[in-house]
Amino acid sequence: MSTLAKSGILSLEPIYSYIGRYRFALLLSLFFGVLIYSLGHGAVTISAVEIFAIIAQSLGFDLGLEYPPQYEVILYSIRFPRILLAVLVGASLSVAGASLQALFRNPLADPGLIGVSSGAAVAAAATIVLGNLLFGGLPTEVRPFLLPLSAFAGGLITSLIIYRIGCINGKTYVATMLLAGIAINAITSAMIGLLLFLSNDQQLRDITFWMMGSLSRNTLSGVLPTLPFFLVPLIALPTLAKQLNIMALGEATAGNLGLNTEAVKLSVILFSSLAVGASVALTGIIAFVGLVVPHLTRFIMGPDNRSLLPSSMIIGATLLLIADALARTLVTPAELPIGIITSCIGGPFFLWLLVKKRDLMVQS
Amino acid sequence: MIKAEKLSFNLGCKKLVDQVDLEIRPGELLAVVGPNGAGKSSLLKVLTGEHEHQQGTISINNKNMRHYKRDELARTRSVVNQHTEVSFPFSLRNIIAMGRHPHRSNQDVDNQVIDEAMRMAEVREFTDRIFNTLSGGEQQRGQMARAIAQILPIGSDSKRYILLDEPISNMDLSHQHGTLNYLKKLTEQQVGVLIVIHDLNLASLYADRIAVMHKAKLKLVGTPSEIITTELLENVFRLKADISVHPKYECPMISPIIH
Repeated sequence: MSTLAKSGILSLEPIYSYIGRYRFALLLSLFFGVLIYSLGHGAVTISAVEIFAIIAQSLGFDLGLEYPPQYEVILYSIRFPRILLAVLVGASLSVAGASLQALFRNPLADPGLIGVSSGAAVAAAATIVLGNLLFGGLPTEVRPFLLPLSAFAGGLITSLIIYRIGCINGKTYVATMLLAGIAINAITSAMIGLLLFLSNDQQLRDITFWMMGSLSRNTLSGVLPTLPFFLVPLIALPTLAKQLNIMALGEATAGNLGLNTEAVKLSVILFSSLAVGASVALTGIIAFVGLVVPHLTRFIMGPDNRSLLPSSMIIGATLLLIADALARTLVTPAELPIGIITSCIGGPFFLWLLVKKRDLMVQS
Repeated sequence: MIKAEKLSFNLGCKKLVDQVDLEIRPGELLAVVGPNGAGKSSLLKVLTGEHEHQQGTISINNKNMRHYKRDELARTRSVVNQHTEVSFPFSLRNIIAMGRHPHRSNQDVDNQVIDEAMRMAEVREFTDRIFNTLSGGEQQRGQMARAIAQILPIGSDSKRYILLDEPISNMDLSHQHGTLNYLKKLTEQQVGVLIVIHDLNLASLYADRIAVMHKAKLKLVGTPSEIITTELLENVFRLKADISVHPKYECPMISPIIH
């Protein structure tokens, strides 16, 4: 095969894209498998058939299958909002991470590491503690949007700062970018400390639990208003895939190829801040998803953003569903914050990545 | 023709390009030479629009460069920069295919053009390899294949140009000549080629005209035999040398004298 490829008679590309499609289908079926499993498992186990029957029932089809009536309540008011959120947050953090990595031209650009998540978290914590003070005059219909909006603004501001500091003349200074991320994380944790100092007991509990990252305590009516904040970047970022591929050549060459690099940069920063902001507003900081998932996906699908970005979403959603299932079941009847699980997996993964990179550098 | 008039570019208060008038004519190979820091790369970056010039005008095919749409400009001229690092493990074929970005042509045309560019740049034997694992010279040849794919196919509608910043610096001797040879072949198809190059003997062999940059100014432009003189070598390059004539092509050849 390789000799044929070398002679130019047989290009490997069609085979790759065939395998690529096949892999994508595999990823999708894995996702749906985990989805059904997550819907069915928890304090009460509901079988896949019963889930199917309940959904069919509510769509108006009676399949004649028996199930306890409280299952419907469990499914719709407890499991469903939580799983919807896990899928949205997993997909959003992953696609934001993959896009930021393409923009910064570096695989270490993770929304958590470079401070975008904590920027969003400060703004959200400020809204929790000082919301009544600052926005007390606003009508109640607007209030569900305040948290995601302020988290988005916080994420956007930190992204712009990081980009300003880490990139000069289209060249990313990785060490500078990561150190700036450390500085921003330090500043934000001081600000969050200050906010904790100002908050009352209930707010203190709220913020602490939320900072560790949690999918619980969200109802469908809490999630639905934030849906556009998730859907806009989930749809918009993959449309930038081709442009992000060309950014891999460097900003100068991308510009010489007719790409409007400024517009691409601005859109990616805007949409990824939106994705991270919405996630942080609802679930707190879930670390390492934006780093681990794009890496894993690049390993399976290759570097082409046209397949990388959608596949990252699927893998991110699947992994977060698994992490959530672990969070719910490891210490039943209590529940672990999901951020602890992702950090437990992501931290070692990050170390492994650093060692691998170091070895590569030593070799060359 | 790419025509620059009274072109100036400063970075802060430092003049990097100072009042340069230069033409890149279709069908010619123009070599830009000069000592380190003379402003060769800056001139190239101003000519491609990567650096915004403060004074003067650039027109391409009689139309002001500022009035071009991005895609239109990218189809008219392609650029090979000095540094060609690629992030993420894209294969060389992926990179060459990116050269088709400004065209929106169909897949068949693209594949045909990519094959042609790979053949010309002699990169076929490693197109399936990851770009970052290629040697410096192979990367340069790969980037050139990408730049050629960007301006092909050469139609009769308008003239095309390719601008290269030290494209052969990491190549072995045979690929240096191979590369200059096919750039020369491109000029036969009425492509205008500007190449920033250090080796004056190579410039003398292959260039139709040579432009000498010195201290941000364009010092001289002319045919190799007009330009390459002992005075120029001494005044601009601080080099003592004898100049002989190539036995076959009758262009000047430099033999440096060690002092």
